[in-house]
Amino acid sequence: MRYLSYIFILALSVGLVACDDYLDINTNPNQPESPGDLDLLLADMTATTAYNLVGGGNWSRYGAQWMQNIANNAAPPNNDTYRINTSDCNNEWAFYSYAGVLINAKKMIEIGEEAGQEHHVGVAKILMAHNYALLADWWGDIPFSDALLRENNGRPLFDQQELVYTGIQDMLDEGIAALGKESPISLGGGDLLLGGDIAAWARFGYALKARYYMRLTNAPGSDDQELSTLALSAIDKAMTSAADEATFAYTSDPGQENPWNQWVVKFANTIQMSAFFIDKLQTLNDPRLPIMADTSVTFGGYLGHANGGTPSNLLADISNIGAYYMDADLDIPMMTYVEQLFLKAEAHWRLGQTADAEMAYADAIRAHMEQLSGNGELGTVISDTEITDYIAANPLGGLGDLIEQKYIAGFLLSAFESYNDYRRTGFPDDIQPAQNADVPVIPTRMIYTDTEINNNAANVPPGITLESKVWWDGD
Amino acid sequence: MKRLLLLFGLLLGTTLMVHAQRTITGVVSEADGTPMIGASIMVKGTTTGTVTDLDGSFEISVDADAEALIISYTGFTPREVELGASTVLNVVLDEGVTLETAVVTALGIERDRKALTYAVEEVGGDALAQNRETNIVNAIGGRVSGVQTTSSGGQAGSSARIIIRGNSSFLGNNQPLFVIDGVPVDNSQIFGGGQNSGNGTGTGDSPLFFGGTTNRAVDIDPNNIETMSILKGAAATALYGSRAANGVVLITTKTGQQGTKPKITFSTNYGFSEARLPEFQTRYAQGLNGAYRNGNDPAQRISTSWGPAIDTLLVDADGNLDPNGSPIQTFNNPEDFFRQGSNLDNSLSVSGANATSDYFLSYSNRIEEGIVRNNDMDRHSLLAKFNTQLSDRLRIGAGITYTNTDITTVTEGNGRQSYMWTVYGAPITYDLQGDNPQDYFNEDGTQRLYRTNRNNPYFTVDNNKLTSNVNRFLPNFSLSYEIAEGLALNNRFGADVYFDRRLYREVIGTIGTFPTGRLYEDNINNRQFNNDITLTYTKQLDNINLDFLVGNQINDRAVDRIFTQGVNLAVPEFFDLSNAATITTNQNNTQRRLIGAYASATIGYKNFLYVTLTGRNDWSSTLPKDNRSYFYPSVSGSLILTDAIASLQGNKVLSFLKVRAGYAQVGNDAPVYATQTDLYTQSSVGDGQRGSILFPFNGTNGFTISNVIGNPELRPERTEEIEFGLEAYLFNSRVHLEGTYYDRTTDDQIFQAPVAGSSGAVSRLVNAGSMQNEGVEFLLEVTPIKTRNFQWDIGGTFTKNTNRVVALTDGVDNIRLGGFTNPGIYIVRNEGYGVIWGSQYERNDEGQVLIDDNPESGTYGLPLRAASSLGVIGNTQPDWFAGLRTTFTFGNEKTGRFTLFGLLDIREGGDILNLDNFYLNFYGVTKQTEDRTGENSFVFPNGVLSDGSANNIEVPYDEAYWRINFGRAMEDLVEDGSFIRLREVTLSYALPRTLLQNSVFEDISVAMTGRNLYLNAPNFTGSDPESSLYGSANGQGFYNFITPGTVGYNFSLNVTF
Repeated sequence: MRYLSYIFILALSVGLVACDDYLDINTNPNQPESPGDLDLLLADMTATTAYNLVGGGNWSRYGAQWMQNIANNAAPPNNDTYRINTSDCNNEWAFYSYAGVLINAKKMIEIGEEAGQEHHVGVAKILMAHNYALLADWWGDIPFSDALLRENNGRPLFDQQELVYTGIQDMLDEGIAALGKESPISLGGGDLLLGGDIAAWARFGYALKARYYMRLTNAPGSDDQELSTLALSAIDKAMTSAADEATFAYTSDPGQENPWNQWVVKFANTIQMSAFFIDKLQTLNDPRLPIMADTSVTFGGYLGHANGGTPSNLLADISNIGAYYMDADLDIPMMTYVEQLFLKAEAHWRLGQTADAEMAYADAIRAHMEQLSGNGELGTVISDTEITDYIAANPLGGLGDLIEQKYIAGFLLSAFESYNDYRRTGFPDDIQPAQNADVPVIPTRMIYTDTEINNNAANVPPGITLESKVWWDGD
Repeated sequence: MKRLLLLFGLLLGTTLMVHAQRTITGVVSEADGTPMIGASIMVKGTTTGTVTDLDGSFEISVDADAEALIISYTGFTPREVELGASTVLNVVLDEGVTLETAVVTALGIERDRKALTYAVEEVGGDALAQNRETNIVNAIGGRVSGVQTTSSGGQAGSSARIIIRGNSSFLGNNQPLFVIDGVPVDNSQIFGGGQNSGNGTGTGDSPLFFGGTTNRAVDIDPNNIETMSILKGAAATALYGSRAANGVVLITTKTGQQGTKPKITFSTNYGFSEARLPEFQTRYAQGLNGAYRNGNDPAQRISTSWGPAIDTLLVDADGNLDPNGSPIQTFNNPEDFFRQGSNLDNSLSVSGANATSDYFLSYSNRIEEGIVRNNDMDRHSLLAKFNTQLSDRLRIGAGITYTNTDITTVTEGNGRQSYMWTVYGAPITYDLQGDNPQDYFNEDGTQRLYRTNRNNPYFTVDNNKLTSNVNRFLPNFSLSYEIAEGLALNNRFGADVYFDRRLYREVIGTIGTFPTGRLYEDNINNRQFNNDITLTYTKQLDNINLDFLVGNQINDRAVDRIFTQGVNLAVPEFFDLSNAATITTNQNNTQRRLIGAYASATIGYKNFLYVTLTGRNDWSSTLPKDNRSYFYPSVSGSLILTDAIASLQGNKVLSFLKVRAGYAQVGNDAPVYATQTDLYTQSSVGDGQRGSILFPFNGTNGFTISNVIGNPELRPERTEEIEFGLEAYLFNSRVHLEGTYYDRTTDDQIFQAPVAGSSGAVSRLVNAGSMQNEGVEFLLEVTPIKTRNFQWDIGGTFTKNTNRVVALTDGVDNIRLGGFTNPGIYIVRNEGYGVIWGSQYERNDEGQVLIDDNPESGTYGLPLRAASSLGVIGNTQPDWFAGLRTTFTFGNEKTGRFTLFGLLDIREGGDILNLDNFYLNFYGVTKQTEDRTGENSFVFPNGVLSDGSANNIEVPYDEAYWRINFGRAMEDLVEDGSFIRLREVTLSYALPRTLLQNSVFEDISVAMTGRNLYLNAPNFTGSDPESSLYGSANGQGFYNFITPGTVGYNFSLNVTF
């Protein structure tokens, strides 16, 4: 019986381990509750912006396909022919933007404001504004004032695009202002776009302001004179050369290459030059053609694939995208200096300041050609004479010329801006919808995505198709 | 410490006790005097026992104080015979009801079948070993009512899923708890590539692009199993608590039986298997728009087989068109690609027992080579068990199982690394294999293939593979002490510890995300410690039997995983992390603890009325502190009408009729680490497939806020189940029928509910929703003929389960379980669990399909595609399923015994998303695309034209239809997965014992088994509808580039010395 009592004591002592400490182990050892150094968030935000919002992602890819820079030389249907599912841009909407750059920016602003890290706050606001503009340009009305509340609101209301655009300008102003303040801790190695250069961030902010003013030139009730004036004043404080561009330095390491290289060379393979683009450059006798495109292996000359057309017999029949653009190491800017020059030209043109407009127009073309020169097939060099001749042959005669030249210079790397310009101005006006397309026009916007439709059905605007227009696209 | 020493002292002291022993001999025979061979003799109250030999005689040594022997034989009424002074005991057994047989129930407690108040079904170890499945889960298939098993594909070492009474958890584990000899063991499937989520949505390789891995029940060697009990309902599993909410698979391993000498068994088995391939078109060459392309010329590569008919095609030696050439050669690429698989299974065991102790030792090895080269598996399993009666009151036992399972798999699925694309997709005019086994390189070192952008499958399987090497230990230690008459204290400690070391290699030159090579080393350390201590009390009053139990359980589970990946390799075929330019490491460590206190009481009245009450309280570490304690009760009862009602007693036809009813609640805790709201995690910027910016990036680290929002207010989940059952034996037990109706609802489920992306997150942990499973299950066993030399047995199971997703959470109507967003496998409110979701055609309110009747349109006569709405396009849950088995036994001890066994598995309904056809119809390689000349046409069914009239537009079957229009909406890809399958046929022969009488052999038998010899799945165009890219995970029914199922043939020899 005495043994028995010992066994009982043992049993009880085992049972009584049931004290609370034993169970207090539910803290995740692999994920911290605080991001610590804000540079850690900054690295994620700058990399996501570069890789998913600008360099890769469907904004750029669809932009380049729908603007017929490039074409998918494969049997349709595919997104070249506007076969778009509601699931196709879930990543862009949710993972890259709202639950990506935007929520991290919001956290960075909250933590940064508390700690007085104004420079981080400033950059977060600029990246946030940039991302909201991408969302609004594609989807029109989007959650803005009610968004990003996480557990406090899983079903945000949608704001009208007009209001989002006002918010974007405010956000850029606040961001630029914050960059001008004292900050005990400034940007560190987490800034993968501008290496911690505060002044350059402010210049990038102003450049974006100019872009988003000019975006509204065709918006209902807008005054393009006023917008042009605002844009020009922003450009005064914006980038001064291509050296100011916020760029991401891709490498040739697998998985870390220029996203165009990843998508076209490593993944899709059937993405080649569009016939429309090749024809346009050939018509204009554009010296950039040998840099933007390779020659057809089969035929020797330059040959594009008509978007949506029957695939060519051989991939080798069609020109591939030029090696300069496919270089794994290519550094891709978030916004090019060339674009800013074209914006400047457009603003002057709209204000009737023809001489200033012509100068900016020529500067833009020259800057772009100089940038490409020496990079093409067999080191194609575009001589100064060629540039001058080209500008002379293609003078600024109207908005159509300007946007067309911007379209050419925006090849691939600014294709989403080309798409926005097309919707805003109707240029280039000779572009036709793809053959065998699912809808009879070049889509005028993106349809809302599953993650939002499924989980926020009450608030998602109904009746939206690829042919609906966003607010700034006029009527 | 002092206590511990005392306990050891106690143990040592008892071993020194000496028992007085005596030997009992006798003969067991049937009523007509025929000696019974192999009848079981057990000493009452112990596990000591023996079996009768050829002339029905036995010899057993028993303790001096042993009270009685229990003699039993299948199909005969067992007898308990008191031991008197005599040492000779002759016993006659009567044919009849076997209700007194003990059945293993929760916590390993044996109960008379008769006294059960809930449904339990048993499968004998022989049956599990006989069909020679590698994965024990597949071996259960079709045998147990209410249980659905699904294999995942034809690779050696692939996983299999088991579901009892439907899926009741949204995103949690839906499979039963596995318990071996009283110790819970892990049966999880841990995905490859550092994937850390059970449904494949976490960070790391998605199974969508890489395929599943195995479930850890694969480590269980069927050779060692004595019996398997399936506890189906909540009433049966209540004592196991939270983790048994989906049922329990209780496995009891073999134990030594008392005999004159050690029993040695040896069994060997050799088998081979063949791929079951879908049909492909055999008439058209590689090409497009009817024009021929010669895939041998790198400049002419194309993925499609829309070339000209081969019978008119003349080519030159290089394969180029040549009007003066010879007829083009064709190849059967899929058939050439798959090899004959094989398996070799050897098992040796030694066992024995004396009056106080028993032991069982076994070693077995299974070597399996899959139907894909380089896919193989090698499993070694060692089991040692020892039990001894240390004193009159104290019995201890210890056992350990060690398993080493080494599985090498090749990559399946939708990723470009997957080998299957080009096996099924290869044009018949292209020689995929080439002239020698490694003929997959061009002279310039690039891969030789008919198309761009995919790999040559021979290259892939030769060079890219995942090897998982698992060392697993299952030790257990048990002690039971009889404190007083009827009062016993039991303690059982067990552990399940395994180390899974995984190595993955992808060579330089692989087309995919990592063209310059990749490797990873994934170390998974999984540990589970479990202790159960129980106090039981049994008391027999006049008309009342009482069984009480109180107990405590402590369970601690932890997984430490460290995943290190290196990409951009420098030296070819050197797979060491030092060879990688970029190395990333990912840690995933979890630990959870559970403490349970439980009690049960069973009251039996006059052996015909039984009531069981149970209650359990759990304290779980995964719930918030304030909600971590939760209690749940159960009550169940049974009434044996044939004993209770006088007029039914002694009925000649209906010998036994029992009705039973039960109600149970089960609480369940949360996933680990679900209570913290904002967590940050290391960044990985990318779209998960094409590439990604890996952090640290050039020395800079990055973090992002988690997309999943935790919830600090979680409460336990609740499952409620009612169950009504009936069990009857008729015609002298020749007919046994058991039926159960159940209705189970799980409320307040804890799951990651999707939230609108615009809220800044993707999902949030919630307590919400309600899912119901209602169904019936039947078991019927009939012995129509039984004579001395011939017996015919039939068994059948039937299960019909209806799943209803009553509610999800506010604003959420669907949740993805697997696949793509479109198409994928989803849970949809009001539609059910595991529905197929994807793009669909435009329909009117009557459900008729709106047909495009514009003759100019490319889709003239075909449905209009719904603008932007995804919806339910199928349901993977079967309407019902059934198993039908039959056994014919011929012969007797003198002639030897032939047994012919067949098991038919039937599934009605259950759709499959055959995503293969999305690609293969586009390529023009499936059998259906052979109909492409436009001569045949069809009218899209249930269609309506714009003027409201019924669709009558003939759409020709031509290239445009198959290549361009098929698959415009994903609903084209849904196929009915109904099947009838001859799951197993076994013919075995046991040599006559009379022949062996004077040899060293006790038993020799040989057997031939065929698996899946016949499969009829009339509406499915793939290989085998029982396949899943997600392995045993929740996203079932997603069929995309999975290794085909197999047909297997096995030959085995079993010898007992």
